[in-house]
Amino acid sequence: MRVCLVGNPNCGKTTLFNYLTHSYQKVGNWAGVTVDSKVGDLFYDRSVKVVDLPGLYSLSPTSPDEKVVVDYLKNNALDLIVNVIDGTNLERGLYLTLSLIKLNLPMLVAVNMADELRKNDISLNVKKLKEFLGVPVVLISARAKEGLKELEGFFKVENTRSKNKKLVSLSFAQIHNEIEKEIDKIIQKKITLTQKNTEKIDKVLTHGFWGFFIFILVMTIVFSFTLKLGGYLGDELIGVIGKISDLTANFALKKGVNFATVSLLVDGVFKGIGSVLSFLPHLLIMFSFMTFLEESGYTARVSFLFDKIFSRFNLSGKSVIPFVLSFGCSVSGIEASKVIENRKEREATIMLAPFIPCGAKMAILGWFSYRFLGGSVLLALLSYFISIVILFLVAKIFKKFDKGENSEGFILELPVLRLPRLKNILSVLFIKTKEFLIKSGTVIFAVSIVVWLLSNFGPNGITYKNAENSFLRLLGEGLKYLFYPLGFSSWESCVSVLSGLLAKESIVETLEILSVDFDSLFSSPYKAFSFMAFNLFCPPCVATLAIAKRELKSVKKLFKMIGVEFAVAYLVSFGINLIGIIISLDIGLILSIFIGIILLVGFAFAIKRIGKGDCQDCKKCRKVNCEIQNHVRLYERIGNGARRRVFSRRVDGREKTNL
Amino acid sequence: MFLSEIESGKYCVIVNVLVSEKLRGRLFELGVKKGEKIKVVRESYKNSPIIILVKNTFFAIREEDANKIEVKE
Repeated sequence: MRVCLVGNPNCGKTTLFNYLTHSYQKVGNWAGVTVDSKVGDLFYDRSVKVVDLPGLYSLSPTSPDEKVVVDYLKNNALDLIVNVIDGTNLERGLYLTLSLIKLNLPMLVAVNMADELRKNDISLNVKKLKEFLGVPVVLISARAKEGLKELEGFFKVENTRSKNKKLVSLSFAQIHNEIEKEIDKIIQKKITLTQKNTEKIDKVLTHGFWGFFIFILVMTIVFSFTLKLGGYLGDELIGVIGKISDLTANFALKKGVNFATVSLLVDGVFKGIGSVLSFLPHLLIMFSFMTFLEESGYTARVSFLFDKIFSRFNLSGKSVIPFVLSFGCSVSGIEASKVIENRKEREATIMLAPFIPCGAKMAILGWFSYRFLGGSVLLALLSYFISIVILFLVAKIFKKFDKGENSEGFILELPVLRLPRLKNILSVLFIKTKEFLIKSGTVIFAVSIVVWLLSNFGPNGITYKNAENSFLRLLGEGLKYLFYPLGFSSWESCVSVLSGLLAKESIVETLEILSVDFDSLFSSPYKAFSFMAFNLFCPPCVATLAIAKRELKSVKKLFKMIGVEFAVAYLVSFGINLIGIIISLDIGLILSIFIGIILLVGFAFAIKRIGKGDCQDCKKCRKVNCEIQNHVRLYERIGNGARRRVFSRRVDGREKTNL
Repeated sequence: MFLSEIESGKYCVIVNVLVSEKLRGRLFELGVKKGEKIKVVRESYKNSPIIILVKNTFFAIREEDANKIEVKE
C-alpha cells in the first residue's frame, strides 16, 4: 500500500512524515524544505509505504519542485492521498484539496496545526468540512502529536473517494467560488495575536536600515561563534586523535607489525581523517545556527531585505537562502535553490553559490591563517569579503550576457515568526554529522590512502619517507608550470590543489600527510594568500559539481560554471601574487603609484563635475541647466493597461513624462 | 489606482490583475484575484518589495508587479 502526503509548502508534511515513519528528515519554517520526494515505511505497519512530496499550491506546476509532485501523482498508482492542510490557512489549502478531489482518487484530509488554531482562537468546524468535501477529515497537530493515531486508523479504510460528486465535476475556475461560499461556515477567524506581533516585529526586521543592521548583527554572532568555538573544539579533537594515533602506533610496533603498515596507518589514515574531523565542530555549529534561523522564519525576512539589491544582479531575494546555506556546504545551498521559480535567477544562483566559502573552505582558511599568516583573523575576513564582492561582480557579468524579460515575478511568503524547537535543530545536527562522517569515511579515507601511496612509491619502487623520488612529485612538478604565475613554487602545493577537487578538505590533509616543511612551502605570505584565494574560488568538489549538474540539467552550463570559476580563481590569485611581488619590491614606489592613481581618478571626477554641475533643485540629476522644478512620482501606461513608474518633470505647470 | 500606491496599513479590493499569464496563475492560487480584499502591510520603500496580507498570510511581491495590479479602496 502506498500513501502519499500532498499539501501546500510549509504546512507540516515533513513533520508528519517524520512522525509516521520515525525518520529524521530536515524540517524548516520556509517554503521548499522538501525538494524531492522521499519514501519511508509506516513505523507500525511496514507494508505501508509513505511518500513525502514537495509542497505545491495547485496542480499547475510553476517551479521544478512542484513539477515533481504533479508528475508523481500522474504517473503512479496510489492507494491513498493524504492531503495536509495548514489549518491557519484553510482557504488557500482548500484550493489544492478541491483540485485533488477532481482526480477522483481515494483521499483523506488532515487539517494540521490544531495547536496553532487553538492558540489563535480560530474555531474550525470539522463536521461541516467533512460534509463539504465528502472525504474523511482529521484535525491533527504534527508538531504536538495530536490526532495522529486517528489519522493512521483511516489509512486502512476502503474507498475514501469523495462522496460529493458535484465537486469532482467542478472546473478549476469554479473552485474558488465554491470555497468562498463554504468557507465562512467552516471557519471563524479573526486577525490573530501572533500575526499582529509578527507584523510589528516585521516592521523592524524588514526595515531599510534596521533590518540590515540586525542581519549584520546576527551574521556576526553566527560567524564569530562558529570560528571561535569551532576552532577551539577542533583543536581539542585533533589532540585526542593524535593521542589515539600514537597509542595505536606504539601498540602495533610492539606487536611486530612492519613499518610500512604503521606508516600507512599513522601518516595516511589517522593524519588525514584527523585533519578532516577537526572541522566537524565548525560545520555543526554553523548548521545549528542556520536551522534556528530557518525554523524561526527569519530567513524569509532576509530574502525580503535582499530582493531589492539582488534583483539588480539577476538574482532573487530567495537566493539569500542558498547563499547563506552555502557557507555551510555548497551542496545544500544548490539544493535549496530549487525554491526560486525564475529559471534565470535559479541558474545564476546555482552557478554562483560555490563562490561562497563553504565550511571546508573555511577550514582551509583557518588552517592557512594559522600556519602561514600568523593567525590573522583579519585576512580570513578579508577573504570572505573578497569572495562576496567577486560573487556580485560575476553576477553582473552574467547579467550582461543574459538579457530578457522577467515574466515569472517574485512571490515570497513571510511565515508567522515562531520559536524553533530544540528537537528539530538536534535532528539536523544528527543528519549532518552522519553525512559528514560517511563522507570522511569514504572519499577522504580513499584520498588519504592514495596520497600516501603516491608519496611513498616512485618510479624506483618504495621511497618511504623520501617523497623526493615519488610519483606524487612527478605529478606536482608537471602542474607547477600551470600554477607558476600564481606563485605556487612547490610541487606539494600543486598536488594538494588537485586533491582538493575530490573534497576541499583534502587540501589540508594532503599537505599534512606530505609533512612538508611549512616554512619553505611558500616563499612569502602573499604566495600563501594567493594559494588560499585560488582554493576559495577554483571549481568546487565533485559532490557540488554532481548536484550542480543535476540542478542545471545541462552539461554545457556545468562547463560554463567550471570555466568561470577556474578563470576567476586564476585571475584573483594572479592579482594577489602580483601585488605581493610589487609590494616586496619597493614601498616608496608602490605608494607613489597608489597616490598617482587616486589623483587621476579624482581628476577624472572633477572634470565630470565641471562639465555637468549639480542640479540645485532636486539633486536627482547633474544637469547645469535643469528645468526640472519638481520630481513627482508618475506612472506611464505600458501595454495591456499595466504601468511603470517614471519621474515626471513639471515645466510651467504642465506635466511631461521623462525617464 | 494601483496596488503600489496604497499606503501601509490600508485595505483595498483587487479590481484587475494585469501581470503575465504565469504570474497571474500563481497569484490566483494564493488568493490575489479579482474582488479579494487585501491589506498592504508595508508599502514600497525605495523600490523594495511590498508586503501584503492575503487570507491570513503575509506575502512579499516586487513593486514592478504591484504596479500591474489594479485596486480600489
